[in-house]
Amino acid sequence: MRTLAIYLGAAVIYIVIGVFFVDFMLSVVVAAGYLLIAVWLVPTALERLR
Amino acid sequence: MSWAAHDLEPYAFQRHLGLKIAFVPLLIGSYAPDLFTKWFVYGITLFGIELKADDPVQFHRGWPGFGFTHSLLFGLLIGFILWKILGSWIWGVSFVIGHWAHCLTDTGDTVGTMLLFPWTFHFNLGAWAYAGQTGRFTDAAAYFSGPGCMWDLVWIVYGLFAWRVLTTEYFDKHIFPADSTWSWANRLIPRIGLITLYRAAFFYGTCRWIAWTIWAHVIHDYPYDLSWGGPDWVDAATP
Repeated sequence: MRTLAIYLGAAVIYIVIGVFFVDFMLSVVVAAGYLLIAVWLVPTALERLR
Repeated sequence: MSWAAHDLEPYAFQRHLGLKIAFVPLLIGSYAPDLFTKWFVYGITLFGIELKADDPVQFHRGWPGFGFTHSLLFGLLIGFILWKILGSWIWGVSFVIGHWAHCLTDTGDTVGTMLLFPWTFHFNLGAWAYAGQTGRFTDAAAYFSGPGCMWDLVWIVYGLFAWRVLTTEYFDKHIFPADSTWSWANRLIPRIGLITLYRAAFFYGTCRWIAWTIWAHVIHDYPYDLSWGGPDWVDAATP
C-alpha cells in the first residue's frame, strides 16, 4: 500500500505539472526519469535521512 | 495516430504471453513506427530554424514518405535483423508483436496505415480523426475529444484490470527471467529501479491521458464529439 501511495502521489504531481507545462509530458524518457526520482531516489534519500 | 495506446498495449500482451516475450523489445517495437518521424510531423525549432514536413500526412503515413514504417513487412524486417544481430529470437519476436500492434492500432484513424506495403493501399477504419497536420496542440485537443481517447481508455482500464502485471512479484517471475537485458542493467541499477523503469510506460500513458484530458476540457474548452470519425470540429486528414 505504501508503494501504491507513492506512485499515486507521483502521478498527481506529474499530471499537475503536465497540465500547465505540456512539454513536460511529451517524452516517455522524461517520464521514466521523473518516476525514478519520485518513487525511488527521493523516498530512498528520505529514509536514509531519518 | 494514438497517444497513449502505444504505451499501454505492451502490458496487455505481457499479461497473456508471460515468459514467451521480452518486455523491452516489445515496448521498443510499440514505439518504433513513430520513433524517428513524429517530431518532423509536428515540427521543431532548432537554432532558430523550423524543421517540419511540408506535407505531414504524406511524410508520416504515405509513400513516398515514411509510411512504410507502419507496415507489417517493416516490423518483420527489423525483428529479423534484431534476431540475427543480437542472436535473440525472443527479442526479434517481441519487437514484431509490439510493432504490429502499433500498425494495427493506427488503422483506427482516418488516414490509416499501409499495412501491406509495398502495396500502398491505406487500411483505415476512420474511427477517429487524424489531425497531426494541424500541429501538436490541435492534434492533442482533437484526439482527446474524439473516439481515439476512448480507445486509449480501454487500454488503461484493461491495464488496471490486469494490475498484477505491474507487481514486483510478476516482475521477478516473468519479466526479469525472460530477458537477459534486465540482469545486465541490474549491474548498474538496483532491482527497485528496474521495476520502476518497467512500470514507467504504463505510468506515462495513464498520466498523460488524464493530463491531456484535463488540458483539453478543463483548462481549454474543446467540445467532445465521440461520433465515428470525430471530432467533427477538426479538419481530419485522409490518405
